[in-house]
Amino acid sequence: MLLYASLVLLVIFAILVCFFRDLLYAAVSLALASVMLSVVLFQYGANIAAVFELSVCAGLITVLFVSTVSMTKDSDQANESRLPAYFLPFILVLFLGLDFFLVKWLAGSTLVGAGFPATPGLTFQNAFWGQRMTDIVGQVSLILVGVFGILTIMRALSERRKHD
Amino acid sequence: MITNIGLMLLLPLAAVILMPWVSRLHRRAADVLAALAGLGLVGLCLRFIPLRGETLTLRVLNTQFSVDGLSLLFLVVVNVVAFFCILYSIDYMNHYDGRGKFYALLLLMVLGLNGVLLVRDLFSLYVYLEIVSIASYVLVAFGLKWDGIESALKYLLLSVVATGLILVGLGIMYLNLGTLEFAELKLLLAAGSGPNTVFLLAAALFIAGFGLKAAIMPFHAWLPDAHPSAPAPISAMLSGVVIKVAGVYALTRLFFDIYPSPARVLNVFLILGVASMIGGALIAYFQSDIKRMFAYSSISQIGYILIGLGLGNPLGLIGALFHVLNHALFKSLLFLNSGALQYRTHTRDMNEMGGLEHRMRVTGITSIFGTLSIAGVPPFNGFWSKLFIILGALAAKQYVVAVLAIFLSVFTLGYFLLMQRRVFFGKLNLKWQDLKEVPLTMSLAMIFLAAQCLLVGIFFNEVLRYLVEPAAAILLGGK
Repeated sequence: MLLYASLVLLVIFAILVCFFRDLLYAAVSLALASVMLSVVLFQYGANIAAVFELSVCAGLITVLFVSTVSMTKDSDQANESRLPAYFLPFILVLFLGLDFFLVKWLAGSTLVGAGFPATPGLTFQNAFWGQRMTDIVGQVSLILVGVFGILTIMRALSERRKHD
Repeated sequence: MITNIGLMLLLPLAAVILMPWVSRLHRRAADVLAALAGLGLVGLCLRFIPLRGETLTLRVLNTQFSVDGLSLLFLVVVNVVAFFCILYSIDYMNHYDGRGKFYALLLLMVLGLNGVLLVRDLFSLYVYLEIVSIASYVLVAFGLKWDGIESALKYLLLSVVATGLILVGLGIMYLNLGTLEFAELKLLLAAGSGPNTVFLLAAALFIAGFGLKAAIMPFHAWLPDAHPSAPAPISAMLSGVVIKVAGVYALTRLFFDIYPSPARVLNVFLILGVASMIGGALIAYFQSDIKRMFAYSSISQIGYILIGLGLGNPLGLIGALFHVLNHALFKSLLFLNSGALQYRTHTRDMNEMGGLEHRMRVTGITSIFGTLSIAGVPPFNGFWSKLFIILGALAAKQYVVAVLAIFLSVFTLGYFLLMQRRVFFGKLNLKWQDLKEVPLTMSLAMIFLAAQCLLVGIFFNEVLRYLVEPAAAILLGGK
């Protein structure tokens, strides 16, 4: 029952992301969709994926979105939007610390998925560094694409700020 | 030689990391860095050619990247076209700001394409495909104009559907076989491990997903908007390279190298190929936007490639793979021609042009090379690949397909000659009286690509021996 409820809510929150005209509400709705996805992943026994979804997608990404939205508001709204910007470094450190402990815990845990027999010796550490090393250049490149993509799309805004 | 495989990824990555700093040094520094990276990549992949399809594998720090005949053909296509697009961009990007960001994204796109071709694991292929896709969305919207952003969103939405289908297909394979490595999948599928119907479902998902990426009809809706809205070098990359690697290479690798018997999907390829060949050409005929016309003609030419693959015999496969190379060369050239026209006239509407041959000699002459190549006129490169596909169709007793391919080739010549008449010949429109040819690097890129269309046609035997036949050998199970 919980699974179906989570799936329905996941779809509703995902659709709402596209319909909200306020980016802040859209970011919060996206975070709620991520939380629902985490519940679905827990239900399927994919605990590691669920924890990552919850900590990174629902947590870290939302903080980044909310901060960015606050920072890019018009200058007349700047006063009310500075608070998240001040707190951003602390929240980032907090999440990085949490992720560090999470990864440390995960590193030694054996990977078992729903429907799969446990593979002896297959830990998160082995899978990440031993089996999926090929993807690391890809992951680094994906992050770079995201960074350059955002810089490209936001460049008109930064140019306007320079002129102002 | 083996370390060159790693450099195919690390060289563009290093250039991308350096780009923000280098682009601040001097206005032209980003151009030099991007051009050097592009040239370096061409040099690296040309060094693999003497191996004639021998498989090279790089294993370092638990990573595995390989080059075989099939990936080499596509690597050459990607990196040669990318270099000429970078060369063209040096002057073309004067119309845009954010030059460093443009090159960074273009090089990341090339990195992603090289990654797709070098990995030996379906999940890694998916990761690199995403790099290509995300870079493409941003590059389509690079001008930050309304039509570009709208097209990028359309491209993104349809591409996400494709990605979803591919991911579900990967999930099915992994759940049933416990691996996504090419070699292991090949062995397990050949041994008949797992339920057959499930693998057929995965095959259908892969065809739909990669078909969307390749813009095969009826999955083509995003392409006619995305390609014209992008800056010209990106249109050239998307039409010349991206749809082939993201779609055709992935489908070829899956169904001719990994799946044990491609026979079941051959008919699907043939039907989709004929639909794309006819549909793309018919819609292209009615376009007045020059880049839209080229985009629809890309769908038609992808149809030829699919037909060659669908025939499944050596002639058809050689023709299809040769057409991958040829289409990349002449379609990139044609898109760069359209970019040159837009650079000077600020319009893509062919009805507003006319008589430009007198003012833009290089663009005019090189576009004739492109026209003759795409129409399959001898001795240009398009002639040989289309000939092989038609001979393959005759050998497979697919007479209707052969006749359609010949007819559509003539039809292609017809609408491209019409384009020539509307754009370059006839009376010069008075408002173009003071028009000049495009700057040097743009002209050079077009001249080099036009020369390649002719040279590949003249020396087709060597190209077949060193590039196409080793690739076809993989598809025919010879390696």
